Amino acid sequence: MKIVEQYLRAVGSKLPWNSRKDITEELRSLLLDQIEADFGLEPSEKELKESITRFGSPGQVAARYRSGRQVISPGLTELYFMIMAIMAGAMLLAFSTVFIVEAFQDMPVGKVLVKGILMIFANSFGGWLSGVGALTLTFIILSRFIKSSINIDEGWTVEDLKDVTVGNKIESRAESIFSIVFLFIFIVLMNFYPSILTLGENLFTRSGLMLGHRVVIEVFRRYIGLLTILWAAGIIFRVATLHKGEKGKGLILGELGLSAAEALVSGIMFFDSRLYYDVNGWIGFKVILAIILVVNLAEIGAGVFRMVRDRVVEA
Amino acid sequence: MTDEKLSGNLIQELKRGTITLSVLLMAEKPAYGYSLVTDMQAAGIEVEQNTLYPLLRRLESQGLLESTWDTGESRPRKYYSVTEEGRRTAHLLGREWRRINFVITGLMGESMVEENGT
Repeated sequence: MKIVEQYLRAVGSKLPWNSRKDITEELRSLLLDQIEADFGLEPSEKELKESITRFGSPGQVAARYRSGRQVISPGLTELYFMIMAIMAGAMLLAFSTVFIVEAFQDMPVGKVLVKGILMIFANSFGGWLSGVGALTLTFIILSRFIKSSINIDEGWTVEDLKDVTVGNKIESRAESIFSIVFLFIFIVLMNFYPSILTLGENLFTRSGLMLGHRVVIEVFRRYIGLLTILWAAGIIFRVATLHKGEKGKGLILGELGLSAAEALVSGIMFFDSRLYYDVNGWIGFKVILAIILVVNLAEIGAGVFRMVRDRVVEA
Repeated sequence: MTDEKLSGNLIQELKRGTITLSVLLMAEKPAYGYSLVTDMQAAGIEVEQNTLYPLLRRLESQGLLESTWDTGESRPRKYYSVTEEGRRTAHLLGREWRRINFVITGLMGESMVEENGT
């Protein structure tokens, strides 16, 4: 009953994020009850379409589970508040890390220490406010200008469902949420405190192990803008993944594009000789870049394989 | 707006409040969404499924109904039943319903008397 799943997917895309799964499950049960009552256990495609049409257009059905016109689309509201909360936590974590790193170097005491602790909250709040502004604008634009590919208004017919893709279920929301938190932290840390890399190198050498090279922070700074764009794109991708609830073709292609961009940037950084000094081996930042490169290439390979497999199955 | 459409809207408004009371009364026995629709229709209460299903969830979130998923059948079904709070609310709504019915019936009687000129 692919058409039923397509219909539920179309309704789900208009439902509030936090109750989408539960409502969709209930609608599936209710719709199947109606189909069974009308046409028995083995309805034809035509009968399925007739039942779905009578159930109502996806927009009409979803609208009954929410009310009123809002600044931010109801399907995005819960997500908006969740990202706001994530940003608050991520800012606090990032600025706390910056404070701890600086404290290790400067060893502040007394008033300086108290001021430093207070600044964690002040900086976090300032960063959070800026983030909320950008987030709100983004969500308002998303709500207003990104039209659904699913026709929900008058004139809707069940034939409109044929283009709805029933994508792969997202295995874990937690994975997306953790990724968003860490990407926020990376953005803050690298923009406010890029020399954290040097500190990491110093801590590494204190363990008694030898570093194969060191990073020239001034050259690394030139990459921060590019990395910030990549991480911001990563956040947008994760938010879109959470919003959609499952990976359709668009998100899969977006993921592949993001992996390719990350692989490219990490490859360029790996081979940029200006970025390193005291070079006598791979051990150090280059290993991290190599891991990022390999992981992203593997993800591209796996993604392409899945796409080809799905296409073969569809055919 | 045509008279017919206006009347239709007013009738809908009139019915809206009674559906909640009907659901609370009919959910004494656990029932799933589709069976509630058919039972209500059989009892003479006109209700669309797309009106009833969201209402069930709303009443549940208000603590007037409770639900459980029954996975023992051929496919999972969500059964709703009235809570103690729901019973108390149904009792209050029922009392109000009788009072309104009494008043409106009285008013209709008076207007009919005036119309007939007797």
